[in-house]
Amino acid sequence: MNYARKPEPHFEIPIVNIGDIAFLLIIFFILTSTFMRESYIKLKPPASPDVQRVKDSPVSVSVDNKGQIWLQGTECQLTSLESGLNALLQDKTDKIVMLKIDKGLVQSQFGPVMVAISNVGGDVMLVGGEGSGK
Amino acid sequence: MKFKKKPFKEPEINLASLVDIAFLLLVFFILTTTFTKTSGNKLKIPSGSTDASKKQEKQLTVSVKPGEIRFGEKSEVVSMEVLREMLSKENFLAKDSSQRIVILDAGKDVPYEEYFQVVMAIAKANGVVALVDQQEIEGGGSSGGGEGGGAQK
Repeated sequence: MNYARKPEPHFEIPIVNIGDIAFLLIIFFILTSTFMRESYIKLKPPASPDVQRVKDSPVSVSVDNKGQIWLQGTECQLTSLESGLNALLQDKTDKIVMLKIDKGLVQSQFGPVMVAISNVGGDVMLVGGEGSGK
Repeated sequence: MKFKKKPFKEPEINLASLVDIAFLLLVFFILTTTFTKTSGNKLKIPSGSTDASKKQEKQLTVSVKPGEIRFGEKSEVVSMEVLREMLSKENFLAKDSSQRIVILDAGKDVPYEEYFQVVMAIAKANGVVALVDQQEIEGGGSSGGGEGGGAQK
């Protein structure tokens, strides 16, 4: 007898929705990601339980664990720091300079940097982490 | 003639590879994203040396040396916790701006971590930090040298 063959059932998992969710998540991560600037500068920030959340400033000065000064991620000497900051801050109303200093440095190393920032009329924003610090 | 009718197949775009790429990108972003939050505090450090005649009658001073913090009228050695308590008792918010000033006298060899913690403690207590410029003092400059400063929220 010639029976009519039943068509084989076709199984498939609908993945269109998964793709939608994945793309939504990608868009979220693209928009929220801030790729760490100046990650090549080797410095360990200090910590204090008294820190507060602050907004990032477009002008940054870093002093790494060897006492090397970095202005906007570029190596810089103390003598040229003031002129460099002057050029960056001259057209800004909010003259805030984000200052990142390695926790191991001593006052004689970071003090002149603060003085240089003050000489150009900038406000210093000291950056550190949350925690007891010890 | 009887032709065999081909079963109708709905046209579709194969999205499997697209989803693979999407998930690869997703994994990349999840692994590389660090939600950084900047913490710290702002300090106003106006330039110019301090006039000795403008000295306050009762000026609070925090002296920092490596592993040693001194505060108060008698310049007692205090711990960070005690310093925080003493600063909060000063109730700077109720005082006018000139009375909020806390002079920070840090020695040349003070590590930045200690310095940072003291500055943050003063700032949290709503005190105004006045930095003493060690170089200016050593150079025979004005007494107290330094740069006026202010911590702001």
